[in-house]
Amino acid sequence: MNPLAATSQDSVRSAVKVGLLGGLGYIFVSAVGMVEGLGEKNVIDPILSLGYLMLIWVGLWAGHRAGAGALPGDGVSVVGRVWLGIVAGVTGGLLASAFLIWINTFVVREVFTNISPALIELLNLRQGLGTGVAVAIGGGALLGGAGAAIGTLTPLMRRALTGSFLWVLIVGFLEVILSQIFREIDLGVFLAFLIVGVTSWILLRNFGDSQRVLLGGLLAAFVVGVLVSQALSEVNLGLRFIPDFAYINRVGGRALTLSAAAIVFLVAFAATVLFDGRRRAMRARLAALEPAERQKWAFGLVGVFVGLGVFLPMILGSVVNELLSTTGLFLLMGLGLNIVIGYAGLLDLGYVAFFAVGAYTMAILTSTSTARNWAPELSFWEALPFVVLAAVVAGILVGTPVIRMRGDYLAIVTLGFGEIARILFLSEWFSGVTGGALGVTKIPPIELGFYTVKGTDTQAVLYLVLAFVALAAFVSYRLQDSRIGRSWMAMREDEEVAETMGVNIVKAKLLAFVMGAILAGVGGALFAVKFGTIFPASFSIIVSITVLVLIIVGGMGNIPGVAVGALVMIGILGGSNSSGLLREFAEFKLLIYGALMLYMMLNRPEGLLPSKRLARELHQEEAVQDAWLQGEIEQGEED
Amino acid sequence: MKLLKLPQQRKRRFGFVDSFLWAVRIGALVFVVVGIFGIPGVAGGPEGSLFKTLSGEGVSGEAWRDLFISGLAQGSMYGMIALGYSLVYGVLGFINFAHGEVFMSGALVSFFAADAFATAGIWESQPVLALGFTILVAMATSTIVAVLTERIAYRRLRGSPRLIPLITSIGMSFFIRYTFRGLFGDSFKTYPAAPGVLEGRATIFGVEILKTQLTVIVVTAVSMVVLYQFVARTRMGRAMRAIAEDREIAALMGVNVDRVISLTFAVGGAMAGIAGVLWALLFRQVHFLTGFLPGIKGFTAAVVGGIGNMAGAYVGGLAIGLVESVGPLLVLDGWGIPAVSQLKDVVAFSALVLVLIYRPTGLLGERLSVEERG
Amino acid sequence: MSLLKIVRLHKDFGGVIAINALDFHVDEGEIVSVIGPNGAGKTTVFNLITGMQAPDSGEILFEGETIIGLTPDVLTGRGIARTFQNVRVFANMTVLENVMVAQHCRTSKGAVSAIFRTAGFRREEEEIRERAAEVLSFFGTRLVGYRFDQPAFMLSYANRRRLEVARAIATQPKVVLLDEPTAGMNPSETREMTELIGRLRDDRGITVVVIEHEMKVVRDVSDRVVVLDHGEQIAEGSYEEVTSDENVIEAYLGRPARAH
Repeated sequence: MNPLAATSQDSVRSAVKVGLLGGLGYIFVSAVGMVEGLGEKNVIDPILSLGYLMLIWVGLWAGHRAGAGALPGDGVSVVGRVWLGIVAGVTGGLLASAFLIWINTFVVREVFTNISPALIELLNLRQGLGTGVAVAIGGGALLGGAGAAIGTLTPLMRRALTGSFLWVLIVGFLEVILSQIFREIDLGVFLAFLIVGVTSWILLRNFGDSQRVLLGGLLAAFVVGVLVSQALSEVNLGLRFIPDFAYINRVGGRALTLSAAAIVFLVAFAATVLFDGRRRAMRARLAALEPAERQKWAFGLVGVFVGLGVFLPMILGSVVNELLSTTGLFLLMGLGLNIVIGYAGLLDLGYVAFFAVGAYTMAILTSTSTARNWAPELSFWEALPFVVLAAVVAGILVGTPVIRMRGDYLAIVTLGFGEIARILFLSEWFSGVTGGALGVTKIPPIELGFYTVKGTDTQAVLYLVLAFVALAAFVSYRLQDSRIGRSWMAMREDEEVAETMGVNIVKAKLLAFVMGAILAGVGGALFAVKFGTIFPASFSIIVSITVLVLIIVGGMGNIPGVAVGALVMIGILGGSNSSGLLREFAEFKLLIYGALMLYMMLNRPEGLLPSKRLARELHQEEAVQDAWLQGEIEQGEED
Repeated sequence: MKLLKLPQQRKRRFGFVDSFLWAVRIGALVFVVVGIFGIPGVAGGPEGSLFKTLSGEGVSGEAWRDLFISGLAQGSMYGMIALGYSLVYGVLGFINFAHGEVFMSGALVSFFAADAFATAGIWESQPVLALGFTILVAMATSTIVAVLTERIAYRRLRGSPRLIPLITSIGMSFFIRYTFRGLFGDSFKTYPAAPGVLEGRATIFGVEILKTQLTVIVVTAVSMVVLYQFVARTRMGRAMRAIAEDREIAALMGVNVDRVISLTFAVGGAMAGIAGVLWALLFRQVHFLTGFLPGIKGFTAAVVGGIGNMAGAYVGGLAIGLVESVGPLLVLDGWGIPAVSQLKDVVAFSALVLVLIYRPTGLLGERLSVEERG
Repeated sequence: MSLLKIVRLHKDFGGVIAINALDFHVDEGEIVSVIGPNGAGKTTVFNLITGMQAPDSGEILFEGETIIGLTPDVLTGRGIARTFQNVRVFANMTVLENVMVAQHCRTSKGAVSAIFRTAGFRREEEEIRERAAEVLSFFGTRLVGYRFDQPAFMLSYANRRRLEVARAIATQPKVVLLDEPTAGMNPSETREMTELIGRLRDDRGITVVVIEHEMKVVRDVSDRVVVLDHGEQIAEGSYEEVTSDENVIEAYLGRPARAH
């Protein structure tokens, strides 16, 4: 019996279509060089490299889509869905095979630089064209079927399966950080975590109503924690056997061993399935919490993050600390741009200009280099007010001409300003002050009185950056929840009406620009000190785009969202001038930025961790429909 | 009679913004005038580029002429790119940032055709044929890329909040740019030198002009005329204008909106493709980043000419081309600023800002659909 | 002295005359209806008074001073508030936030005090919240309680209109311009709104100018009626006077004023 007979022709047709898309995906990731470029990096040794992961993902995706493509009303059985997945997989595999035959027969490298012999080897599994074709079609069928099968599982099983696989990947990706933590964790830090955690738990439970007691108690706990961590920092906990077991050294960096991967998978799977009931209960309780109660727990959450910020840098080691400080700098800018775009709705594409102004002001005022005409050689703290001042002036200079422009003109004009700033800093015209293409060198470290923060001292720099990030987050939060924040929101929704409601548009827009500029300017100043040298090349449009991408991915208008965006984008993929955890991505970073922007805008414009308001705005219709179903919306009431 | 709703120029009390904008307007005017003419009778002050030329120490007359003509050639290409922005903005009301990449794709892919012709010797023996075919390849590539972007991304976003398609197009731009880098590598592709017939200079109306530049100017002018006829005379052209006027009404009148919007992207793409080959003819080198600056300049040109306005796109392109080619020497050099050629992008972007301050609707006035006028 | 006085106002849009030599005035404590056929220029008058558009010539005096060239936010500060014909609430803000924003020009705390949460800031914030709740209670139970934290797009059409009125009241105006406040409402809701318009003046001492199509509402609320056609005033007086005016009947062209 033909198992497809039960499915409608439409769903078969759409499965073929999805399959073709999948095949195109195969060709795409191969031809742009991702399969080869990421092939070096093993996620699970020896079976899974990042390059193959891309291909596998394409197959699973196609199968899943094809299986889900059949409508509930079609009466398609589980088996039918799996068959649809297989159809898609085979179709994709055929297309991929055609591609394989083509690149095996002709030398196309002259035109398509990334279709190299090494790639062909990888796709053929080093066994010749026949194997390649067989794997493409057979693997396609397998993955397509599997993808469709996953779609037919119960939601819990599906979540457990995909979630556990995700955990394996995360543990694989975070190799550097996790090994470092397990190797370096000492009794001091451990106890400190414990002290702060237990104290805050007790405080929240018993004294949750009195902010004064809470803050005082927490502060005391932190002081004790820091002292303990310092005192006992020599006593290693001896957990290094864990990373030694879990990871293995390979050419492309350390990878997860097969047994460790299996353990992670099983533990995550079991945890998801076993604790499902409890998770739901927690969620229900959370939803039922009173606002005051909820605020208390939010407070606790902030405490956790402060704790991580204080104690983690002690054991993370210089590589990770360096990575985190870069992430922090971008987060600082992200918080600023979040005010401009997320709150006030002004798409500023020249945001890097403020970053550059901050960096150059700091550099010029503090540099001890004698290569330039003018060098007042101030200290960091003396120069900081001037950085803020310069940012304010820049914010007003850029903001004022664009105030009455339409949203998209504003975008292009600010982009123009960004380029103007970079070219001027680069130009010979101002080279007496800015050093032209050579930049400014010898920017001195920061004197704290009791400590000198050198740019190379990654831990100290990280603390400094985190302090400024905390300050910026605090300021953004307070502004958002105030008269100013409300006026921004109103302006973003309907400028004209906001104006008739008494909001001074000029002031509101300028304030948004200025606040954004200050945060970027301070970020720039820290950047200058961190590297000790700045070049105009560091301030290209890519910086603006990177910051834009991170707030889009994280969730515009939402502070935790921006933080998540920064961690994911900068921490893992890498920033405009730095590489992230997955160094292999560096070459494809900007391609992925673009793809992520597209994906997010088309499918999840509110970001990974959306602000409530933006989610509402973008899913208004759905929300209204839900409310209708729940009877929350009255139709014209009858008296 | 059609109700023509002019942009609301509000008369206001003189506020901070007004004073600032007037200061910019006057300051810019003074800066330009002094840069050109200097301050007569003040020794040691700005000399004025015009007087430098007249007194024989500045740029020579021939050099000015060459700058002017190369500005025209460059500007014609900006105009071709600007068309794509302008058409799309007129119909859908957002800046398609990816349009610069559409231009780049044509320039980059057509390189392989040109290179093959050059290797086979056809480039020299049959220059018209080879060049024509290369242009066709570029047009096809750019058209496909432009139509695909609309089909994949923008179509799904119609009617979403304003910022969303805009951000999407930025993402699209990066995606295309780095896809092309992935496919074709990040090396510069060197186009074959212009065929022998296009070497050297020709004399037109007594003015000597490089033949390549002449080709660029002529080809763009012809393309513009053809496009204008297409939009003015054909059924599809009428449908395009109808949609640019009012999408909803056009749909009610039986215009297939999706198809016409695709066509709009296709037309914009084709023009960008032609511009791509011309660009390569003039500058020889193409690269995956080739689209970025011309893209922004093209949009600038569209705004300067008046967005949504086809003739405006061309005029705006010429204006931007001239300003950035002649401007640095004419204005900045007069002030004694060193190495002014570094600053040509600064001049172009400043021109954009100034046009938007002096005349926000562009030189020839903007034409937007009912939906976009708000 | 009139609270609001319009003198020989003129406005055209690209050659099409919207307002032509318009004169009318509104005294303090009055409820004035502005009626007229579609396209008579009623909403344009509101736009001109609130500074959203600028007149080509003529004079608008508020409390004896010219207000031409002032921006809408300044005019809101002076005491002119309005609602919109096509309901423009801030759809993604909550009901309470909508009304809180409207108090922007009556409050003053800036960024610095917001960041430091000064005592003054907290007091002001509390006042804003209380006043918002108070204003919303004007509509009985319609917009209070759990509705405070509902986004405005969840509201029914009639409630959005009410929210717009609440927002206008929250700016603490001297005069409020209501643009078709009962459009799209059913008869009982219309009755309720009619009564509210009366209470705006009686309880709160706000002068009201209302554009209305529903002649029953016009009859019930108006002290005086101004009739516009083609941007000109063609009649003025009590409801009875204008409805029997020949010019008015002609303007509505055989369409007898829709008295129910």
